[in-house]
Amino acid sequence: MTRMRYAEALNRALHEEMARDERVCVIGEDVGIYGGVFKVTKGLRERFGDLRVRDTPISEQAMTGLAIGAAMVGRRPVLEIMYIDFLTLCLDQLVNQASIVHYIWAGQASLPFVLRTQGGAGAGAAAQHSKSLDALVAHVPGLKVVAPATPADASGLLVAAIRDPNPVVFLEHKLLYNTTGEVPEGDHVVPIGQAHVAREGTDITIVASSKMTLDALAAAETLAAEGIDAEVVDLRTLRPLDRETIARSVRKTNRALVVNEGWTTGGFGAELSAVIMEDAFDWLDGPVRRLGTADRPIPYSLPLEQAAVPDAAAITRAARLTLAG
Amino acid sequence: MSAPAQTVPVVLAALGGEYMESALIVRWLVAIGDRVSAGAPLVVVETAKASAEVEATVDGVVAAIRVEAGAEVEVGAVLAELAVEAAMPVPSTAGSASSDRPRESTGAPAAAGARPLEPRPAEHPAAERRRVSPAARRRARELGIDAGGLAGSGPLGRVLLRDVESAAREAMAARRRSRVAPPPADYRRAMATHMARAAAAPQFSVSMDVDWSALERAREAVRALDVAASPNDMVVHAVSRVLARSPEMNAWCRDGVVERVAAVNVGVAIATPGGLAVPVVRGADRLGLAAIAAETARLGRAARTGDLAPDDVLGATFTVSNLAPYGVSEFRAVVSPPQAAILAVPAATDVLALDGGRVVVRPVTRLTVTADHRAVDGAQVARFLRRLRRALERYGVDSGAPENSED
Repeated sequence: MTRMRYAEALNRALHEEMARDERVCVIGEDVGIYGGVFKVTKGLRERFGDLRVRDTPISEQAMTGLAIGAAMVGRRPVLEIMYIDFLTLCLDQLVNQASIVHYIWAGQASLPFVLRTQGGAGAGAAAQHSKSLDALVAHVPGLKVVAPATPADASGLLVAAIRDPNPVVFLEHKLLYNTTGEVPEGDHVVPIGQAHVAREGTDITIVASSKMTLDALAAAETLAAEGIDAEVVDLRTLRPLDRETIARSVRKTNRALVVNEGWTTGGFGAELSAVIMEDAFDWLDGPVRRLGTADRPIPYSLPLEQAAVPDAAAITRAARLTLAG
Repeated sequence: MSAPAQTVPVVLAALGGEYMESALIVRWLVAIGDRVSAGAPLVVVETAKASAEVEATVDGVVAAIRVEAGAEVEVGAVLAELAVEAAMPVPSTAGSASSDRPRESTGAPAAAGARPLEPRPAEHPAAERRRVSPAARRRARELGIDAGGLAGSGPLGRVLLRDVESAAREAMAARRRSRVAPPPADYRRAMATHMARAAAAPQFSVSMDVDWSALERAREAVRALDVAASPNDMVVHAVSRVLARSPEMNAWCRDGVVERVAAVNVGVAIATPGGLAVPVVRGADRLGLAAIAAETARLGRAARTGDLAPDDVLGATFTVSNLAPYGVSEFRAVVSPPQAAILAVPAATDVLALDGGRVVVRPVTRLTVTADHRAVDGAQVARFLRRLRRALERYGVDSGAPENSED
């Protein structure tokens, strides 16, 4: 095990996968010479050359098409979309091409393509650079969607995503890059589609992913001081969703709070809530509570941003309300 | 203003059957001033053999409690008084079954008003449908509790998991409290009184040696069938069939009046830490060996934990007492009034016998029937024993006993 930052864990995984498989290439804005705005692609161009590490113009739709085309002809591209906010520009390529290739050619074609991007609020980056659009991509069959919370899972899931024969959307969070954690050595792969219980508890299940997992864990510590023993399920993968791990936890605790940093209405929390109702209804001792970002653009003002977006304090309050419901 | 109230007494009935002359007041479930409706449990009592609740038979208000918990009271004693409105029809007593209720010849126990301490769904109109969380509803179903009848501690009175769990814990605690066996002295005293009454009956005994080979073979057959039946279950199986054909032996004798009973209810004597218990296999002649074995196993467990309900101990028409496990070679049991007879089953002993001129070893059991001479005579007992010997010597797991008799 080595202690490293989330960004370093991703960087190491890219280095290892590019060294292991020469078909792996990296495409994106400032991923080459600059090494990525969050330094995730640092050192790749120097080591693997500018043919395999391509700096692109600011043209998300074109670079997504480039990556998909490369995947179709046998490359294994890792595309970086600098902010998830600009994923909207890629949606036609992603939803009308990448997600359906395997299906419309009846499994004769596959598309080994990873779209890395980062989202989330908390940096005062305002309404165009702070969104969480998990629900947009998790809605689409044919895409896999992962959202790791820790350096170890970031590394292990990125390796799994690169080796996956079909499109994987890899959701990072701008506030996670500097968080640190132990990362296993060697060929560390975290299978896509497996949630895990990040903290065991008996009184309430908090389902979260990405940064919300860390906030949920912090909330669980506050709750523990109040005598509430919270279990935190870290989804890691949003699609395909590990329903069994969620249901198993709720059957144990009988209470559920679902947290997702995206907007509340029509968000991924709604999906989680429905899944819990479908799989664990008879074990629920009260209504499932959903916590998401307020249904409004993310404010630039830091205090307003903090008020709009869930954090550990908001999760703590929501957990208390869940238990009182 | 309500109409002027009048009070009706709650009387201790003979819940525990023939053994019962008194009961221990375990716990009051109501207090003075409580409004109760007909069927509501008022007090938990413990007889020598079983726990039971005495229920109100009328709607009313608890006006007085006449005996404290821990007291021992005799059958017929007034336990409490219920105030009822004068306009309401008032039965003679407000308590459960009256003690002079005539015994029915079907062998059904006169135990109305007493019931085993099981969680019971509370009745509530559908119109008052309660909020119950899904988890509480599921758990209540598992525990056999009606969650809708509980007080909910959640928002808007929603019944939550914790309400069900706490109701279940209370029910368990109540069961444990009521299960506290009466002090051995009380139990022994009840037994002593009963046995003294038994000794007053003119009893006689008749014995007969029975070849136990068929039964031992049957044990192996039973094992092969994976049925958990003991040799005593087989004896009960065979006895019940023979009793069905020997109505004079399947009888009650009270004050010199003999009453043949249609049902064959075989009492099975069981030694428990608290003393002798004689639970009843009801309708044994209609049960197969596996069913008899299952019932004796259930009764044995209940007897050992003090959980026998009145229905489990009432209405025996004949008793089997088996001391074979102790290696006893021969014994006479005491008839338990009002039954007419009892069978004593000792251990089998290997004896040398002649079989077509050859000396063979046979397991032989000396069965002894002790009977009340007011109910049956020696020839009837001897004929019963001969039928029983034939049944046991030709015992088959399926039949229990051959139908044809030799008389």
